[in-house]
Formats: sequence, structure tokens, C-alpha cells
Amino acid sequence: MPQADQLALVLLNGVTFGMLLFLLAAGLVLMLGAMNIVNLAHGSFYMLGGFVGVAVAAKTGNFALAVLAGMGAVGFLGLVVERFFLRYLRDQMAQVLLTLGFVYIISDLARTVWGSDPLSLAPPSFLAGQIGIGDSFEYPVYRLALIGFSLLVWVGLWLFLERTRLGAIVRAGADDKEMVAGLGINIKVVFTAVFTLAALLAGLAGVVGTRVFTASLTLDWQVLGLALVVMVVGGVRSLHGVLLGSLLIGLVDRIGTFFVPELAMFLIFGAMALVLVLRPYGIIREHA
Amino acid sequence: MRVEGVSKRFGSLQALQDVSLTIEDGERRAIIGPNGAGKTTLFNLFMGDMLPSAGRLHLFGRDITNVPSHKRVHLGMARTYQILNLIHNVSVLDNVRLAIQATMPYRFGVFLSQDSYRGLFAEARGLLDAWGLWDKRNDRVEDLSYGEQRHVELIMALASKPKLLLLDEPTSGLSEAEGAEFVKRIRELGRETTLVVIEHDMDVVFGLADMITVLHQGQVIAEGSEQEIKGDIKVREVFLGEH
Amino acid sequence: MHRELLSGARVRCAAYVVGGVVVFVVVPQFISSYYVFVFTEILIYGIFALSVNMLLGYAGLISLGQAAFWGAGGYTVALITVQAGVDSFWLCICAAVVVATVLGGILGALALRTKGVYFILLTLALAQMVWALLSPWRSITGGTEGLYGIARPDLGLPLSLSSSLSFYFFVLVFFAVSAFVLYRVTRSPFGRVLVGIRENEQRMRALGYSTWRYLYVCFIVAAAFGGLAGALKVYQDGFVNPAYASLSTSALVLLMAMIGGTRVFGGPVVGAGVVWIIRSVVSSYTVYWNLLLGVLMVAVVMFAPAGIAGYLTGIGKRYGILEGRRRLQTLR
Repeated sequence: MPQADQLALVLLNGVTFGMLLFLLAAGLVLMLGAMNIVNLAHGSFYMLGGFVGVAVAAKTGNFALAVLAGMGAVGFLGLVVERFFLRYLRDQMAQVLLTLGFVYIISDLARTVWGSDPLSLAPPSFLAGQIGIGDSFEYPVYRLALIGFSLLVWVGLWLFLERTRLGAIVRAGADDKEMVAGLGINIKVVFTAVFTLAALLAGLAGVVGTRVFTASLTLDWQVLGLALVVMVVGGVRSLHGVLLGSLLIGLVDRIGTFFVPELAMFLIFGAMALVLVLRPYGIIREHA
Repeated sequence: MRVEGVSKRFGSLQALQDVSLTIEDGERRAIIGPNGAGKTTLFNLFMGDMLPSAGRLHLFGRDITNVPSHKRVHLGMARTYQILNLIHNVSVLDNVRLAIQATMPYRFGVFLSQDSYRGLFAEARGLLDAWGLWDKRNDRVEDLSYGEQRHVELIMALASKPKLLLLDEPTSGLSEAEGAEFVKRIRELGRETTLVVIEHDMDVVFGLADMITVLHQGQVIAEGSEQEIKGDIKVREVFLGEH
Repeated sequence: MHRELLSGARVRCAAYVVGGVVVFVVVPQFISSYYVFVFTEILIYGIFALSVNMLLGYAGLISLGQAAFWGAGGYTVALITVQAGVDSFWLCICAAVVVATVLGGILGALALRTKGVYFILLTLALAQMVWALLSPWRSITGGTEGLYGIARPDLGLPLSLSSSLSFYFFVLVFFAVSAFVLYRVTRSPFGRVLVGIRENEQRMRALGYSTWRYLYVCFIVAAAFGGLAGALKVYQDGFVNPAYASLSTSALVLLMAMIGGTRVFGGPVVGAGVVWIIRSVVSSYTVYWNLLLGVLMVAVVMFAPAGIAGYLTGIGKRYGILEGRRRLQTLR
């Protein structure tokens, strides 16, 4: 039945989109949770990753290389921003404004170096094509792979935060800087690492997302808006919340666009506003 | 001020437990106790900086348990803080003017420049002159010496002409001489201002207070005059080695 | 005693006024109409940036949603003029300000339930909701293309406002009035309380101020002037579209206020000027003007947080030696 097929398509698209958002929002949440920073340039990181990836793919024809290049470029940028700029700012408001400045810098960097053509990155051959699900339904392998990969990232992050010592430090870092510093751990290095990790994730998302999310010059603001919604709705301090929030927003966006295209954005930001007004800590509360 | 059965929890920490006291008009009360006894928490509850987990507070016969802190000032309460709580990046003069203005009807005024309120200016001058800080009026308040900042802290509380003045360790960090001077000035405040003072320095306490309340681990363990407190065994135990 | 305190300020004030007259009244008469256009943009954005700075510089609140009011003002004018066909300037302007003010009242009541980072996020979310509403209703708001065909107001004056110079002076009047009003507000008791709240809200409450009310009124005032500026912008451009209410507009005006200086009253106007000069002048030499803006912003945040104007008036340094008698200009 066409109707069910269409619905399945929309739902799967929602999940795909959600997982992409997860890669982005996870980084945002890490930064906010560990360092109390809202990185307004996160959308720009995503955009830059996409541009670098496409440029490298165009030159080398190698998907994996493109992904690495995108991640690397953005990761490096994140490192630089944190190490040489953010680190020296104490005031949270100043930090937010600084990241705002970088939005403009990155916007021009991306645009002028790589032009303003729409982006598309060809997936590697083993991920191309469609796969059959059920009788008459086909879905791109690439997108399924994206979902799977993102889930792996989620598990990886969860293990990192819950099971490793560094992860525990990251979780504690925001709550008690002095205590962590007192344990002889260089909190500054931890912060740089967290920020860089978030940037790597954003760059990764940017590269793999070029086939999912139509690119445009206002991509940085578009993506930032959505990632912030996810962060708020999912919970600024909870990784699982971010996953749920991403899926929710991804689904709302795709389903909304399908049924009530005019109101999709309104609903999404409305959800964000509602959560902030009622429960700023998001859907899942993390206990101290 | 009357406080009934007031308790305050922070998560699993019971900061105050079933505290009751009554402070009469014109009284000079000292609240003493070792660190962590809950004294500042009690002040936070008096002032409305925090809400109690249980119990009620009454001021001048009126139940103020649910009255927000900014309204309590208008009922005649004011407090100073143990850790200096001045308004930074703002001059001394402006700190004092803001403090005075808070209970003035023109505090919502949008059209006239604050400088044009001569009465405000004169009153601020009066207060600053009395404490010898007029010359420093244009300095940023955080650039003053610690002792001077303590003075400003007190001036700001006095600015609203409170009937009940809460002083949280007003001599903390001051040298002996500075502290003694400060206490002398405080004693000069007339009896129309009821005084509640948290203090660690026993000389200050005994020189100032009519009645003393002793807190320990969130509970009142003794209450009475100087003689009674000095003679109280429980108090001695708690303060063994402290004074 | 009072004289001693005010004479230095009076001299400085006079200097600013004279300088202002020269720059804003004399100069525009001698430059090409393109630059007159730029000056007009600077004035309009100047009003907007001044309004945003009431929140940013005085109350200490970063709002990522002020474009909602700019857009509200703009669309109100457009709707009345284009959709309803009513051609009355004063009705449009008043309606724009009223709509923006009411919107400010609604959004402010919601946004001010939060603080700090959450306030930033909530203002962003609320403004995005407004933005998201503007595209769908094609029949009313013209959808993503917006509405166009708004002519310069016809005030029945001998001069036509379609010439850029006459429109410039028209806007200048609004700018002067807005700047004057906002300046008086910042120097009033209300304005001083805002600064106190910015620095130490808890202590201000303990002194007896109902701080929420002050912030709420400040938010509404900022919204009102944002709406006024947005309305003027529509008359300048002749059209309106959803980009008016976009996140990038909110960010740009924050940038202006920050670069120009949040701690000096006129800073945001300087910032608007700098941004526009970069946009118009620099863009004829290079395409990288966004980059330059970003670099400037980063430089200001890192090294000169008092902004260009702050640095120029000496507030950037810890002790500005402005005149012999006063060691520090107190609350601006």
C-alpha cells in the first residue's frame, strides 16, 4: 500500500535525520555539560566539515579520505578555538559571544575557499544503492549505514563517559572544577580534549550528512538551530536524552514536513520553547 | 521577629532543624556557634534569600514565610553578608545610592537622571561622610581596602533605615582595632534598630548583645544572657578550644 | 559640589553633540547617494543596536531573539500598507511599535523565567517560532518571498521622501528621538538599577528591588525600539521578508553592539557604523567581509571587551583618566 510505504519512508528518514542530529547535538551537550559553554559555531563546524569532505572527495574520489579530512579539519579548528581563545575567557557570556564571532569567520572561510555550489558527496560503492525491506520497500543503504554508525558512536560515547576514568572526569568537570584540579588532573587539557572531540563529531556529521541534508549557505544557522533544539529537548546533561531528543526532533521534522510542511519549524521550536519554560533540564533529568 | 519550627534541608544535609526563636523590638541578639552550625543559613531564611523546608517566620506580627526577599526589605529588614556582597564595577557612591533608592518611590523613574535627585545625593553623602568614605565615592567599590568595603557593606544595609538589621560576621577579616571601632559604631545605632548579629569573636558578642542564641549542627542548644551562656555546660562543650 | 560633578560631563556632552551634528547632519549633504543610503542604514541599525544593548550592556542579558521584534515591526508596516491598502504613515509606525511592544510583553514573560544560558536558548527558540510563522502564511505574509511594494511614506510635505537624502533626515529625527529617550532611561534610577542587576542581582533583591519587573520592562522597551527600527527598515528597503526575523539578524545586531561597545551608551551605534562600513566599503575590495567582522568580534571579546567606543573613551582601561577631578566615570 503506497500509504504505508510512504509512511515507512518518512519514518526512516526521520530516524536518519535524527541520528545525524545526534552526532551534532552530542557534541553540544558534551561541551555544555563539561565546560558550560554554548558553542554557537557548532553549525559552522558541521558546514565546514561538509565543504572540506566534498572538496577532498572531488580531488581524490575517496570517501574514507573525505570523511577523515572533514573530521580532521574541523577537529583541528576546534582545538585551536579552545586552546587559544576560549580557554582564556572566564565569563560564560563572553565565551558565547566569542563562538558567535567564529560563526562569521568560518562562514567566509568555507564559502570563499570552496565556492557556493550545492554539495553532494558520493558514497563509497559498498554503501551505494538501495536495500529491500519487506516486500516492496527499498531504502538507501547509505542511510541505514548512517543510522548504524551513529548508534555505534552513541554506544562509544556512553562507554567513554560511564566506564573510563577520563569520561568520569569529563562528567565531573563541569560540576566541580576545583575538586578535579585538586586531584592533580589538568582540567584545561580535559576541556581542550572535550571541545576537540565535539568538533570532530560535528565535522564527521557534516561530511556524512551531505547526502541527507541539503546544503545551503545558511546551513550553519539552520543546523545550529536544530541542534540546539535537540540539546534542550533531550536534556543538556544527559547523553541518552540527546539520543531520544534527536530521534524525536528528526521524526517531528520529517513527519511534520510530510503532513504539515508549513508548520514543521514552528512545532520544533515550539517544543524547544515549551521545554525551556517548563523544564530547562530537558526530558531526561540526570541525577547529580 | 519570630521564627517557629524552621528547618532547612539541602538534599541529604539537614542544615537547620526545628529552630525557634523570638527576637523582641529593640533587642540586641547575637547568634553564635561553630562553623557549619547553620547561622548563615538562618539569616538566609530570615531574609528570604532561601525558603525554609519547614516552619514559619513572622516579622512584626506578620507571617512572612512566603514573602519574597525584596519585599521583606520594605517591611523593614536589611542584612549584610559574611562574604562581601557589593555591586562590582559600580562606584561606591552608586552602590550607596542604589541602596537608598531601593525603598524610595522614585526607584522606577525613567525620565529624570539619577544625578538630579538631590535628596538621594545628599543622603548618600551623609552616610559616606559619617563613615569617612566620601573621598572614595567615585572609586569602584572593589578597589577599596577590605575594611572600607566592610564599611560599605554596612552602609548599604543601613541605607533603607531598617527596623531589623541582620549582620553576618560584620567584623570578619578585620583587624582587632578595626573590629573594635566597627563595633563601637554599631553600638551607637539607637535602640529603634533591632540588631541580630552572627559573630565568632566573643569579645564582640559579649560587648554588644543582650541575648545570645547558640546554634550547633542546625539546632538551638542554648539561649540566654551573657551570664547564662557563659555558665552553660553544653555551650562550653561545643566551644571547647574555640575561645 | 554638584557643579564639580557635572561640569566635566557637560563639556563632554557638548562635544558629543557638536561632533554628532557634524557627522550626522553636515557630512551627509556632501556625499553620494549611495553613502547617504549607508548612513541611513547605520542610523536604522543604530536604533536596533541601542535597543539590544539595553538588554546586553545594561541589564546583562544576551538575547538571541531580538530580530523577532524587528521583523514584527517590519511586517506590521507591510501588512497595513500592502495587504490592507491603508496608506497612513503614522498609523503604520504606531502600529509597528505597539505590535512589537505587545510581542515583547509576551516573549519577555516567557523568556525571563530563565537565566543565563537558558535565557539565551529560550530567546532563540521564541524568535525562531516567530520566524517559522512568517513563511507558511503565504496569503498573509507573502511566504518566503515576503511582501514588497512599500513606498516611502507620504507625509504631505513639500519634500518627497523618495530621495535618499530627505529620507535620511527623516530617519535621523527618529534616531535622535530614540537615542535621546534611551539615553535618559539609562541615566535614570531605573537604568541604574538595571546595571546593579547586571552586576549582582541577588544583592539588588536583598536591597529591596523587584528585579524581575525591571528586567521585564527593559525587555519590553528593547522590543518597542526594535520594532520601530524594523518599521523604518521596511520603508528604507521597500520590502520585507522572513529574513528580518531570522537568527542571523539577531546575531548581527548583537555583533554590532559588542564590537561598538556595550558599556558606552553610543557604542552600539559605533558598532553599527563599523559593521556597515565593512559591509559596504570593504566589500568593494574583497569578498571576505564576514571574515573581517568575525575577526573583529573575536578581537573585541578577547582583547577589548569594552568595544571600540569603550576603548576610545577610556573605559576599556581599568581607570580612565577622563578629567582631572573624576578618577572613573561611574555608571556611564
